[in-house]
Amino acid sequence: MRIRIKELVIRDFRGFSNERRITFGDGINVIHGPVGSGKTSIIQAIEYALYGTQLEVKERISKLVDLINEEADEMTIRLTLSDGSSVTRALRRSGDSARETVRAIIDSVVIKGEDADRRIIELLGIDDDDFERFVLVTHRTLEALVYGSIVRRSILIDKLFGLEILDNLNKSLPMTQIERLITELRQRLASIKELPEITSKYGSIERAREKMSELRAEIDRLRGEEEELSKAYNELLLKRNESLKGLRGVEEVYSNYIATRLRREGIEEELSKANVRDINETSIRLRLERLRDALIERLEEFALVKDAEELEKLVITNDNLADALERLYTAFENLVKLRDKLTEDKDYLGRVRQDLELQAESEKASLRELEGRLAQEEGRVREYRDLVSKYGEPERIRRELEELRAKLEKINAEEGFRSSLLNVLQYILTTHTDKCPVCGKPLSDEDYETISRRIKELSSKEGMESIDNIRDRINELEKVLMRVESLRAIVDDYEATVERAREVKSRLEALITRLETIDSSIRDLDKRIQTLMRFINEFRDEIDDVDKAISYLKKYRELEKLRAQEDELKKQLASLGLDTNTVVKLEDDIKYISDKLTQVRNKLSEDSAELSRLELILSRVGLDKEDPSTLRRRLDFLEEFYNKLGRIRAGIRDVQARVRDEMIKLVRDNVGPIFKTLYPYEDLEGAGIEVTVRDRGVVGVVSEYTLYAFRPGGRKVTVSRLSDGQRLTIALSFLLSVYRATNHNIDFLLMDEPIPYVDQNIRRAFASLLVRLIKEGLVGQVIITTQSEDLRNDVVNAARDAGINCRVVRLVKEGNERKIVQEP
Amino acid sequence: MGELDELITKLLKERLGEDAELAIKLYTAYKERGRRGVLEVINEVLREVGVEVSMGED
Repeated sequence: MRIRIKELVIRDFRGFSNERRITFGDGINVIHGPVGSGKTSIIQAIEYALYGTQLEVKERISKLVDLINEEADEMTIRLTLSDGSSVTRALRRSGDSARETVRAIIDSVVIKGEDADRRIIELLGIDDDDFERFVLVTHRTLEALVYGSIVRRSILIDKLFGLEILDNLNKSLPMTQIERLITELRQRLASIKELPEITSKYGSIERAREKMSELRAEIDRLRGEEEELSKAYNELLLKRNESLKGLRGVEEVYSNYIATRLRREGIEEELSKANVRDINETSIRLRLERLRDALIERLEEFALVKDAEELEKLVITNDNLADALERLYTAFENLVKLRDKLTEDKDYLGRVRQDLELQAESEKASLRELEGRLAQEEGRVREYRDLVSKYGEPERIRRELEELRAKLEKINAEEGFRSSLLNVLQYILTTHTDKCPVCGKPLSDEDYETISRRIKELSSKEGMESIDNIRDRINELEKVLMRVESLRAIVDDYEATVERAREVKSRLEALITRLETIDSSIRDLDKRIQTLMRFINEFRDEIDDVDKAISYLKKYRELEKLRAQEDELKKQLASLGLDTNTVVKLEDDIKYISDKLTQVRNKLSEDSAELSRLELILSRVGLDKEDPSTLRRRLDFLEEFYNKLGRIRAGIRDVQARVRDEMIKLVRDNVGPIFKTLYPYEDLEGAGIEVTVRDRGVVGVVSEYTLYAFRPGGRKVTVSRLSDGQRLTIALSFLLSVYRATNHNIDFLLMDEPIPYVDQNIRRAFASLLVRLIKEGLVGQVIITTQSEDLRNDVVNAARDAGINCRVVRLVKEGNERKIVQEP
Repeated sequence: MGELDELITKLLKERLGEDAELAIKLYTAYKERGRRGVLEVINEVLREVGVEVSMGED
């Protein structure tokens, strides 16, 4: 259910003493009364009832205590809403402030304190910021939307879009305070860091403090000296002007003379410092020729044949010394480039060598590992080989075993027969029977002799011994075969390892050979580079020296010219009546004072800097009880935090731009249809909004909004070209489009004096707009305050004509007393 | 939290990454307690290194 306002009861609220009650209806509610009768207080009472202390937090009122009537110590507000919910707030004066209690009944449940605040926001679906944005409409809002400058309008629209909060949040970030904390910490750290230096420089803090006093005295003295010297300098300049005055044409000659003299002295000083007494072209030419020959030799040695040939063609004369020098430098630079190239090659080979060394190390490690494995298995391999040499290959052993087993089988069978026969014969002999028990043949004595002989033959052990021998051999061979077979895998692995070791060894040898070749190349390159380096260094020293000599030669020649010129100017000055000795003396004095002044000023500057440094560092001595590492950690933390806040500020600005885009999209979709609903005429058929982002220099990037209407056919007309009624319709359409772009449960608008001081046309247009708002179902309830009786009448008449419910609440001011009269 | 707050919170998260947590905390504090709320949040952070900003200064 969407919420409207049903009843407001106030007791001792602002200018209203005792209890007052207003009942609101659906449709339009006009609160009418003169200035100071408490119209705005009624609107404020509704807002306070809904959002309580937030009004003070957001600085919409300066102090809550101001809401209590001056004559009372407490006040109460009860607001009843259309769904039966109610909220009661009481304020009790407590010194300069006030204590609030809140009690709400929502869905027949009593809620108190912060829970009540939270539940009211949930019930309405908007917080105090949103309420201020689009439920509470003042004349400032409407004016700024359609009459104000583009800047004012843009600020207001940003506020309506909720972007002002982000702006205010950014402004609330205490960047300056944190900056100050950082600066202070930096100073403290600098002081701590520099203190040991000061102590070591001056011996002790006390001595440094004495030095400060000395510096102050010295600075005072230097300032005095500077003042005196400046005075003397100015006097000399005046004297010079005086001596030139009245001598026509002398100034130019004089200036030339002074300039020539100064230049001559400068060159003389320079040459004297460089110890140049006499210099001539021939000696330089000879040096250049020697350099050329040496360079040609080196260029040829290093195969820079073309450069060598070019230089050979160079003929050096006393007149082309500078050119010749330039050509020698050019050829020399090629030699330097060659050295760089050789160094690069050497570095490259060094890197290749390093790679190869790594590879060789790796191969060596592999070889060591393989040799280790071979040594470990050598015993077993030797055992295998001994067994093979004694018993043959496993195949052969297997064959012999098969043969022995067959032989054993045969002998075993023969032995069985012999044993059975022996038993039968022994039985016959023992029993002495007449007949053979096997075949029944009668036995004679002769037969018995044969049997006895045969038994003797058959009792021989020869057969048994043979069987034992074969068995022993089979056992031996089986053991050998098992051992040989178990060793075979090891031997195979051993042989494979031997093969691998051979391959690794061969690779290692190849690597070592390559390394040796590279080593030799590097040595060779190094030798060449060293040779070249020595030559380059020596040659550079020499050629630079010749270069300097050529430059001195030029100056020497210039000096000769200047001397001649100076003599000439001296003569001219004498002919103009000026004593050159006086001039020279005066100029010397000026120069002396000027140099002295510069010295004093430099010293003054140095002393002042040192004094400031000492003052800064010593001012904090003894103040810092904290460990420098703690200060450092704090500084790091603050710097990081400051940067973080900076990033957040930038982020908030970006978010603001994106929210603006989103809001524009939402509002653009709504504003046209709402405008068409509110504006029944055919000369305009819609409205819209556009935003332009502009960079306003120091102000920064700003967004400028344009509100416009559409003529039939789609042509845009900006608000400035519309009538007052059309402007008001656009303003209200825009407000309602923001109102409807947000999901909430509110179905009322509060309008606090929305159009003061307007003419009849605007009043009527506005009255008919309000009626249309209700009639078209855009809002269910409007509570509007006005001091204008005309507007009240216009609204009442328009509502009556349209059959819309309209109530009038009259506020009466009698002295300090304010009364509420609910008109029928 | 209203729709606008939700939109702003979402955009702050997208834009600020690791810094979003503090930014949202500051935004909420501003909404609830105005500038004082912002400074309270900041002082809570600064307390870690034993400093604070004053409520009365810019």
